[in-house]
Amino acid sequence: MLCLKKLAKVYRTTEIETTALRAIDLRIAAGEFVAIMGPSGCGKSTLLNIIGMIDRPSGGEYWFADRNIAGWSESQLSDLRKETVGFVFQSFNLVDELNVFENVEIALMYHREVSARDRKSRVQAALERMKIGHRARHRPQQLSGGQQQRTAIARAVVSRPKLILADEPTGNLDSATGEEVMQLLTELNGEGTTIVMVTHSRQHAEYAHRIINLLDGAVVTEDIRKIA
Amino acid sequence: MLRHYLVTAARSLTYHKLYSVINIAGLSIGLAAAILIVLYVRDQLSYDKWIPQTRQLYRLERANPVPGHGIEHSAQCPFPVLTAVGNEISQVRAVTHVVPEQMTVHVGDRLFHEKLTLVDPNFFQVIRLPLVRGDPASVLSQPESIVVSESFARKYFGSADPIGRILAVNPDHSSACAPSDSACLNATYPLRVTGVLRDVPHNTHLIADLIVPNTSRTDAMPQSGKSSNWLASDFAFGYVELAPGANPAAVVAQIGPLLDRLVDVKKFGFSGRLSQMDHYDLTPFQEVHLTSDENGGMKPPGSWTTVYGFAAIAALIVLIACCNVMNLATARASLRSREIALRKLGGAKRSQLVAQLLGEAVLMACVSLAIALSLVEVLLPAFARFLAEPVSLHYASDWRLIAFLVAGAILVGLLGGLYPALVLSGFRPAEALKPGGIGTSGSGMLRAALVVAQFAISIGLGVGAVVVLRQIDYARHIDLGINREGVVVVDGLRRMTPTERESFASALKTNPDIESVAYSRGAPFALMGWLTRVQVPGKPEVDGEILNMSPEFPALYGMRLLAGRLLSSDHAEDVATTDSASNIMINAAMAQRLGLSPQEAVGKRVSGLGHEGGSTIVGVLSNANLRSVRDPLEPMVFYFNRSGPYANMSSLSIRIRGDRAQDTLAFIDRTWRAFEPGATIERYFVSDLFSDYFRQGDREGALLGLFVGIAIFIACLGLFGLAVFTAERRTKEIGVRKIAGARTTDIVGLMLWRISVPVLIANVVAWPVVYHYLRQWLDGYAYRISLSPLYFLLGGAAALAIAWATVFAHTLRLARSSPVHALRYE
Repeated sequence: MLCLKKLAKVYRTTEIETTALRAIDLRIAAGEFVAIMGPSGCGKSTLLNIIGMIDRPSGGEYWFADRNIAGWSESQLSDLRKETVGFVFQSFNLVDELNVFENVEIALMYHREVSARDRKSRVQAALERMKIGHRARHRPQQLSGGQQQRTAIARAVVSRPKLILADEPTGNLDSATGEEVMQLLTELNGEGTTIVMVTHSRQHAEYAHRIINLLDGAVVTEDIRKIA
Repeated sequence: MLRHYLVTAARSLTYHKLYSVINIAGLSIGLAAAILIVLYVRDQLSYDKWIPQTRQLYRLERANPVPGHGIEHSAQCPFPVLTAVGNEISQVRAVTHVVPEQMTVHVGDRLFHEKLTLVDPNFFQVIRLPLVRGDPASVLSQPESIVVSESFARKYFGSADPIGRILAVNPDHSSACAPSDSACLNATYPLRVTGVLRDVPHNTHLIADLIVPNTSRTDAMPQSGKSSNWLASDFAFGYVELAPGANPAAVVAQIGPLLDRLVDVKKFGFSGRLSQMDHYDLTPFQEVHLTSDENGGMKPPGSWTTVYGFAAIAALIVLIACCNVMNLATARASLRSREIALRKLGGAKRSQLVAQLLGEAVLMACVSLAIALSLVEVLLPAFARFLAEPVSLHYASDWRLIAFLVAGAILVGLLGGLYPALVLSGFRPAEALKPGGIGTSGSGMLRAALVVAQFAISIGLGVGAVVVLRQIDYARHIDLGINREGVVVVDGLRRMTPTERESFASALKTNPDIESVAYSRGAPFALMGWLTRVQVPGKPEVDGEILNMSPEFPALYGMRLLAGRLLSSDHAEDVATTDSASNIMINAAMAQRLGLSPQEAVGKRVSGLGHEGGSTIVGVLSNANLRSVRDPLEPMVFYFNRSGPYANMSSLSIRIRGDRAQDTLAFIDRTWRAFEPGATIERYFVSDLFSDYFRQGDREGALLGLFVGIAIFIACLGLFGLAVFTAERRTKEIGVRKIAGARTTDIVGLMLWRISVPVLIANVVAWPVVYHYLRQWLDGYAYRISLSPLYFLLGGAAALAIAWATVFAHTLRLARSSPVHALRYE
């Protein structure tokens, strides 16, 4: 599905240069569930952002479905991203001013091929599936952490992406709710969605087929759990 | 503690630069504009307040119903009326007549054209203008005396002592002399300087540089006019000093019966009583400039409308700046919530926090005031020049005003800071310290309301300014039906006998650059026509204006002949020698009122013009408004009276060719001197006189535009600040939307729409209010633009465009930024 070759990311300010990623080689096949682990500051989130096309590499190649997209323009990336990628964040990133339904709707708002009616029904379906249909008119602040993350996952899946990127999706949740979220992700993976997840939790990483350990911007080990 | 607050306040100002700049720039500019307006308003209100002992002083003014015009208010009053009021009403302590006259003053062989003021000998005891030399009680007791102001004394005599010096004065005595008595018309009288007046400042409604007792032979008003001209004011002003404690209303109530007792109006050809025709009122001396001077005072009038209007604009500008302070402070509240929470943990009471936050707002207002005062310092000279009023600000002598401004700035600080202080100090520390801090959704409604208010005010002012400026422009360019370009008028022709006048005209016509000349009683926009009531047998009576003019007049001003023929010197019937006219012309409006087409009107006999057996209409002229754009077009009667006692052919209109105007003017001046060596020429271009009508309007219009621009600018500053802060708070949302596939255009569109909503609401709020006031204002004009909805739509569109332009760049930058940063924001 995607393939990174000698991928690098360097942050520059006027005074210092920080290398976040150095020469990453990584291949992720369609339908895989991959977990990325590593200590704080090792480049996990940067890698995830680049995979999700919301950040650009400083060097190397990024092949997505047989196209090297490393040099694509913002709007090309934007179009590709909205077709293929869904995001789940540790801090949920729900918009306080919008209610649950509207938050999920955002993910389909910019798909011009989806009619308003379709959009409404798909959002409703996604909410039902995440068991928060009854909270559709509530604001994020009125929900529990688990409900907020389920909303965020609903938002990530409603556009039916091939790839879901989850950045510490359980980081802000208690263990029971965390398990619930992992079950959801596993379920989505079972339906064929590729999942790349950054996590600190060994236990949650065990849900993945493959664990990639990063240290100082480089892949140190790959730990293959199961064969898909 | 105080020092700590001051330091925190100063830190807060310097740390949040954008916020401080927006607030301080907005407040400084707003306060500077407000101070300039305050200075202007103060100057307008200061008129005549500096003259001592004016509390019991009033101006007696007449109002009389004029057919077709409603009640016509005048600033003047007939000479004998004031005399009678002074003699017969016991609560009146004294009266004094004041009549400004233009005269030629001879000093050696130098000639000056001056405005002299003819007054009762008691003048300085009633209106106590300060004298440098001379005793107020006796300085005017000798008939042939004159009191000069210090600067006029210097102009005439240099540094020499003016007392006892002689000024020879050549007045316009035409109404006192027989029309053919050349010696009487050109007499010069010596006046002895008996006193020196301290220069009167600009802020008085009086013309008082050269003061002459009206017992002098120079007085142009004939004795008969002083004693028996009960019905005409003749540019005479009357001042009344009431006895201490006297009630002006009680005095006014006695005037009607008094006049009815003294005057028999039947002698003047009227029925009924004088009190039914003329009403009198007393206007307090200090209020004359702003109230009744507009009805024909000595100097250009002020107006309460303008004073109130500008004061309102000043208040609105400051209000808009206050909104900014309030708005940005609440918008920023989440940024400061942590500091406030920590102070609370440290034991700060809410009242202490309110004091601290208010202190910051007040400090900011005071900094702004200091900047505003510097701005005023820089701008004041230009402002004064522009107003043509020496408005000024002296810190030492104007300490009261400065104190007022400081108090005002503190009030502005409190006003702008109170709500944010209450909101901020009310945060619960636990919430404020949570990750993500505190949303300020509670004050979101208030911010929206403030933005709506600011924009409603701005839109209102903007639409108002555009309509006012359009109306001024429209009035200036309206087709009044006369060609006013290239016409020079020479006034003061009454000092010539009819024969001299005609030779003067012939002499001028020898110049090939002079196309034509015509004389008339007054010139366009300075007519001395009078009202008359005419009737065609079998039709209702019609009121109209009657004008004496030579037959060349219509052609010279480009008035067209619609039917019949022009009057002509060659037809004996066309030339009146008494006040009754045999043959007349009328304008189209008169024909219409008479119920006749121009063709039908020709040949009709008209009664009411004093000619036995009626007068005959020989021609009908196209409509021309010879008065002003303020007045509607009048039905008119034109006749030609060459030499009758009331002919009063005072003005000569001269149409000159444009290319060598300077030479032609010099030729006119030379010719005048040859005919009238003892008097200076009074000449002007008709187009200049016309422009004079608009000078004040233009000035006020330009000021209005400027201040409205400032108001809108300040509102935009606030909007910009708000957009920045809201956008910052919305970075997460923008990030989420971008991840969902929103393009830059989608984001920008969304942000602009959010800005548009309050602007659109502001339109709905502003339109009806503005419509109401503009409707009222326009009704004051005879010729007015229609209040098209386009003004409102364009005003709304402009507001929207300005709002968009204000926030566009920032929004674009934000929309383009990578969503990674946005999502890391928390």
